[in-house]
Amino acid sequence: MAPLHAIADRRGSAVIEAAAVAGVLVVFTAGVLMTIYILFARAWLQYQSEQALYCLAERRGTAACRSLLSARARALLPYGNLTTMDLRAEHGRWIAEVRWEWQGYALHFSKRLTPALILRNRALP
Amino acid sequence: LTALLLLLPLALGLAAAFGAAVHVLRTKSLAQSLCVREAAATQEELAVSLRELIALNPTARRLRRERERAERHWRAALATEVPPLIAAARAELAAVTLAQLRLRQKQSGLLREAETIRSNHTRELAARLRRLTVSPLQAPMRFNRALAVTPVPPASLTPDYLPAPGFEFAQQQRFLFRVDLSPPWPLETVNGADVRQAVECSVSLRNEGGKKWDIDILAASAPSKSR
Repeated sequence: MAPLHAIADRRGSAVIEAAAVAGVLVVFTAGVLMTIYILFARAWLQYQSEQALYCLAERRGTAACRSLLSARARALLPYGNLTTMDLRAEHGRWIAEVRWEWQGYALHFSKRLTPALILRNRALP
Repeated sequence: LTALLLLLPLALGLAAAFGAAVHVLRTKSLAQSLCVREAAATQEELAVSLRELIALNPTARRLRRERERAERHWRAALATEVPPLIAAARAELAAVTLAQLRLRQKQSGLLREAETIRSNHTRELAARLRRLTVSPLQAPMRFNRALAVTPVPPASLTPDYLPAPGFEFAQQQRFLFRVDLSPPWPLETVNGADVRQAVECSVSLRNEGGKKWDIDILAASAPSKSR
C-alpha cells in the first residue's frame, strides 16, 4: 500500500487524466454529431432539391419553389446557410443549383429534370 | 476506453436515427419518381392514340358529307320511282355507310386502345410499388373516356373527336397511394409515429400548337406531412 503522502502527490495527475479523457470525449462526441449532421444535411438537401425540380415541373413559379426549398431546408437544418439557390426552367427542362455551407464545409447539388429523363426513369441523376 | 464505450449507445442511437431518416427520404423519393414516371409514360402513349384519332377527323367529315349527299340522292330516287335510279342511290348509300363503319371501327379501336394503355400502366405501377405500398393504388378518372375527347356531332356514325372542354384537367392520369416509410428495424413501435405517407402524382397532355402534344406535370411533389 502506498504511503499517504504518495497518494496526495498523485491527486493532481488524476485530475489531468480526467480532463484529458473529457477532452477526448468532447472531441469524439462533437465529431460524431458533426458528421451525422453533415450527412443528414446532404440527404435532406438532395431530397429537397428534387422536390424543387418537381415544383418547377408543376409550373408553380420560380419564386414559389425557391421559397418552398428555402423554408423546408431551414426547417431541419438550423445551422448552416443556403448560399446558392438557383432554380430555373428553360426550354422544357428544369434546373436546380443548390449550395449549403456550414463551418467551412460546403455541399453543392446540381440537378436537372426533363420529361425525357422522367420517362427513362433516370430522373434526378 | 470505458468512457468511449459508454458513448456507444448514443452513437448507435444517432446512427439508427440517421439511417431511419435516410430510409424515409429514399422511400419517398422512389415512390414519387415511380409514380410520375408511370403517369408520364401513360400520357406519352395516349398522345399517340390522340394524334391518330384527331388525324381521322378530316376523313370523318368527308364521309359525313358524302353520307348526306347519298341520303339526298336516295330520297330523290325514291321520289322518281325509277328502279335503276333507286338501285344506284341505294348502292351509293351502302358504300358510304360501309366506309363510315370501317372508320368507326378505327375510331373505336383507338379509344379502346387508350383504355388498355391506362389500365396496363396502372397495373404496372401497382406491381412496382408492391413492396412500398400499404394501401391499394387508386387511379381516379376525370373523364368517362380514356382520351378526353367529345364526339361532334354526337349522334353521327363517324363524328369528329375533339379535345373536351377543360382538356388538360379531364385528360390527366392521376395516381394515389400510401407508402410505408417504416425502417427495416422496429422504430415505429418505439415512437408510435404514423409512418405511412400519401403520395400523389398527376400528369396530363398539353397542346403546343398543331399536332404536338406535350407532357404536362400537374402534381408531382410529395407533401411534407403524412395525410
